[in-house]
Amino acid sequence: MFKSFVGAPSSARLLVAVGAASSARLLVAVGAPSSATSNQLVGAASSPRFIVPPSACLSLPLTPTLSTYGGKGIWRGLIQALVLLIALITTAPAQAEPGTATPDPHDILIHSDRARGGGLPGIEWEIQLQAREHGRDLEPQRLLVQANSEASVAQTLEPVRFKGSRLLQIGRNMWLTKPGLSKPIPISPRQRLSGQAANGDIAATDYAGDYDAVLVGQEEVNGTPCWILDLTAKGVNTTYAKIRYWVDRTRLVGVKAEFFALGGKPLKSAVFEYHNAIAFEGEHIPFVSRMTITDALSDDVTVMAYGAVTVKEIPPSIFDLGRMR
Amino acid sequence: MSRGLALAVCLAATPVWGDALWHDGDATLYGYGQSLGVRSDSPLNPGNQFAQIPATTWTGEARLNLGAGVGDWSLHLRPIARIDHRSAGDLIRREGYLSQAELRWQISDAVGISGGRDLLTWGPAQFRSPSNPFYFDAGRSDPMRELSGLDDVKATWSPDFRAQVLLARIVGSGHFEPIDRQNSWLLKGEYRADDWTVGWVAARRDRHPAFWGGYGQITVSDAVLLYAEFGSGARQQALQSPDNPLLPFSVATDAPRRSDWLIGGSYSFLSGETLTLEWLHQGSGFSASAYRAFFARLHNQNPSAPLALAHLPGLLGRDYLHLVAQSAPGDDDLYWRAMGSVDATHGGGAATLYLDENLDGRWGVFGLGQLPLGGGDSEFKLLYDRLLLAGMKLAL
Repeated sequence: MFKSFVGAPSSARLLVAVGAASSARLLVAVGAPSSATSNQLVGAASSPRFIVPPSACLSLPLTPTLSTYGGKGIWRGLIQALVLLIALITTAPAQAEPGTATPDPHDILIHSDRARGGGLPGIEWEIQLQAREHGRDLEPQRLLVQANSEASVAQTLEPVRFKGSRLLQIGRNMWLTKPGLSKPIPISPRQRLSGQAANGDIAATDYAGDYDAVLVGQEEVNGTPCWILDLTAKGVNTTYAKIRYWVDRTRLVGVKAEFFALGGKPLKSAVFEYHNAIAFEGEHIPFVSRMTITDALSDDVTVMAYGAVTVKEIPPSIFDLGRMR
Repeated sequence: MSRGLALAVCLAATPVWGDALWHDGDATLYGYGQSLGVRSDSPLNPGNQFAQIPATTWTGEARLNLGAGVGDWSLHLRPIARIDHRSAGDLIRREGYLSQAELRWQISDAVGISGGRDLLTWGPAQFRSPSNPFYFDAGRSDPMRELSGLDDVKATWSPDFRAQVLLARIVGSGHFEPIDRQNSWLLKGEYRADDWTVGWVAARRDRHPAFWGGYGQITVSDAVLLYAEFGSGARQQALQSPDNPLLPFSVATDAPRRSDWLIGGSYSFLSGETLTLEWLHQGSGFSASAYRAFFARLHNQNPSAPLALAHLPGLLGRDYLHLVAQSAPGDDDLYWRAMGSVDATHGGGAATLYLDENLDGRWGVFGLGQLPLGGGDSEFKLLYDRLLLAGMKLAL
């Protein structure tokens, strides 16, 4: 029988198999069955990964017999077993504790992206956007967003004076249009949506594709044990140059982020809540329900509440500029 | 091909409309007044006797957006009803029309066909759009008059979200006066990479020279956008101004092929404000001598002046500079847009300021002022020397 500690990331699960027969052996292998081939187990160390052949797994006799060791041999065998166990425990304490294995930061991002729309065939959601700037509440907005991993269309539903306005984003190309406008206007990514929300914040998150990640530590955020990742943009096609990202070690969802400009200047921070859920490939995945963005230099706050989340493929015609009027 | 073909083709396979549900609709009501400083000494319109431009106009207008869909079918209508009172002749004019009306059948995720009245506009340029043979000035010469679509039948193919090919047959000029390119074929392609976009355009009216055009834009950084448009074609009704001012104006059919191009760029500040600069070269514009002869002929009270007024092109000259500064489009309260256009060859230009203030989410007030600059022989001052407009709007 196998017991998997769900709290650990899939690439670093601790598997314990306990035989029931008299010749039961404790078999300890650290690895990830989901990503391992049938005769290999993947080591749980941080990068670079290493492959552990099955023969390297520890196989310890738990019930030594007289025929095996005899007399003093019994005690010697027991002592050897104890020494090996102690050595195992002391040399790999992190692997033995569920949830403390050191996983691949890229794998963490892949999981956490899915909870914010990334890595899915397509997604549709509604966003309620409320911003507070200079001590004053701005007009609330409600958006319908349809997105895949590289493109998105956000249609304004409220306020009514902006109804029908659309923001199309393909990579870093962006266009804005509204009823009555003669044609879509190309805009730069710097133009903000509302409050602290950048245009990039409403699209599906693809940190795994856009950023190089380094695992720099662990920390609790509001009592939740988290991995801390430092993300550096792979290219110039990202909204932020650097991000420090706190990912819940158990659920593998991003709970907090700090965003930085190219020179390291802090721009803003965000906290995330996950009270939505989606079904994808037979799994129920927690999904972002609220993102609260705070400006780094002021008290300006923008809250984005996500609802009506549906995973579905978005047809290419949705991203047709000619239909955005 | 008749003008009604666009609608007929799509109606032929219309599903049972009893099943359709209107799923979208909104409207905006406008009320505004406009004051024009009509030049009594205009060389093109002396004493306002030809154009009869009203000095004051009061306008009420309703613009609606209606959408319905069932299965793979969708219908979009944009009806506009307008009433205005003009001081010239104390005239009340009522007008109602469909600015856009498109019935669309999405055959598959990638292929769709549509027919009706559609806006055929594209490209990144703001001042003028040289890559477009249908709307060279993209409707921006009248800031409050909404651009109306052309009657067409159209097929689009979108193999993925980055690429699109469009084939259209334009069968009519829509609500407004006939344009050069009605009864035209249009073939257009567009590709959008991560930070650049290119498009090409080919159009041809029956038995007339083809039009070729293209456009492109590149997002250089979060703040900087660069773009360009070009077009090459022959105007089918082009006002001619012979160098000899004693000769009358004439209108050439199938004028020689000329090329127009525009380059531009914009910079967005962290606060969201954007600065845009564009340079337009209009190969089809008058040469310096033809430009001088144009005004000399008008000052000589040439009897062909009404012909010039009737066929006046959007711009007379060849090189223009256009500057735009504007606030972030999503700003909560006041949206402002300041524009300046300069004729780089002959001087003169126009400065325009548009303000739009949100009152409570539904109600808003707006105003526009335009001041043509330069001497009496500036094309921007041909008909009036100031424009003021102010009004209210209500979103429903």
